[in-house]
Amino acid sequence: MNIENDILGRYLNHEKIEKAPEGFSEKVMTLIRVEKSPERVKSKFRKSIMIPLISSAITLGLIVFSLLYSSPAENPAFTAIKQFFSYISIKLPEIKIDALSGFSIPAIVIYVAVGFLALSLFDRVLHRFFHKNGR
Amino acid sequence: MDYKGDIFYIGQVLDGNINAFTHIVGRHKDHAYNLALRICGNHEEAEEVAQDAFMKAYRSLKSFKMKSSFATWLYRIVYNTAVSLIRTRKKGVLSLEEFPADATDFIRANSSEEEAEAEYRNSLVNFALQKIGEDERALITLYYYEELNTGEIAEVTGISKSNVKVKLFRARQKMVEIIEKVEKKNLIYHE
Repeated sequence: MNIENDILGRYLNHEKIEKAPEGFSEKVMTLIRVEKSPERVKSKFRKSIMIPLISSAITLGLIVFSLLYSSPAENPAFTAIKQFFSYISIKLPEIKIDALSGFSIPAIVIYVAVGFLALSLFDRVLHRFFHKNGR
Repeated sequence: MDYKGDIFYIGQVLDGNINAFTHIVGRHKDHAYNLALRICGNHEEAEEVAQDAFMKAYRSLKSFKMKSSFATWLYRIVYNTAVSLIRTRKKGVLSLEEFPADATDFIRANSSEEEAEAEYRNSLVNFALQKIGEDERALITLYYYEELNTGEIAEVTGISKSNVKVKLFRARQKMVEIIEKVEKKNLIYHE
């Protein structure tokens, strides 16, 4: 639509923009300064290194534990733990589907699936922990 | 308006530099005030609406997705704020029935005939604007003063593009009728 050819456009001076009153910007900025800043939530240094620290600690712990657990030397601290674990027998069944000519899902798949579930849950917990205050 | 400039200052504000918002206010205050004034019809309410709109924009700056320009986004806030204010106003605030002056009243000793005529037409348009509904006022202002296209107006007002065209047409018709009525009266008066 051509404003100049428009009947109303001939009356309206579309260049006449009413100016905001003097001091308008200052008033707005004064009001804003008393408001909380909408800045992005900056994670503090301590929080930002927590994730790699925790994962490194867990990894190190698992490595040390596996070394000590499988170590031939008798360590009183680990003997009891070894004994405890020897009482736990975890065996997941192999799934066989006779209708499909004895097609079976090997037990390793079940172990992997359970592992994924456990890791997903762990990830969810960590996510909630690190994002509870932020967006 | 410099689109890239707005994004830069918005980024600055979100990074914690509150003073960067001054640049945003400075760039858009006149257009925001102009829209508010055309909808509300008086300077006090227009100033209140424009200030309110900037405060709301500041508070929800995080949610500005940059799908449209910042100006369009701000106009939407001004429009909604102004329309809400008018709808909560006490009913029974009357606008002037008759245009209170004629063209000769605008000829002042120190102004040219051209300036006087421009001022007369501006007053006449403002008078006609107050005679139509607040959403029609917004459409006229956004189309003629802010020179937005119907797509952008649809984004600001939240109504469909086709509806904008229909409403704009009707608002234009109404205003032309009002203006022509006043002009006719003035002509008769001076004969």
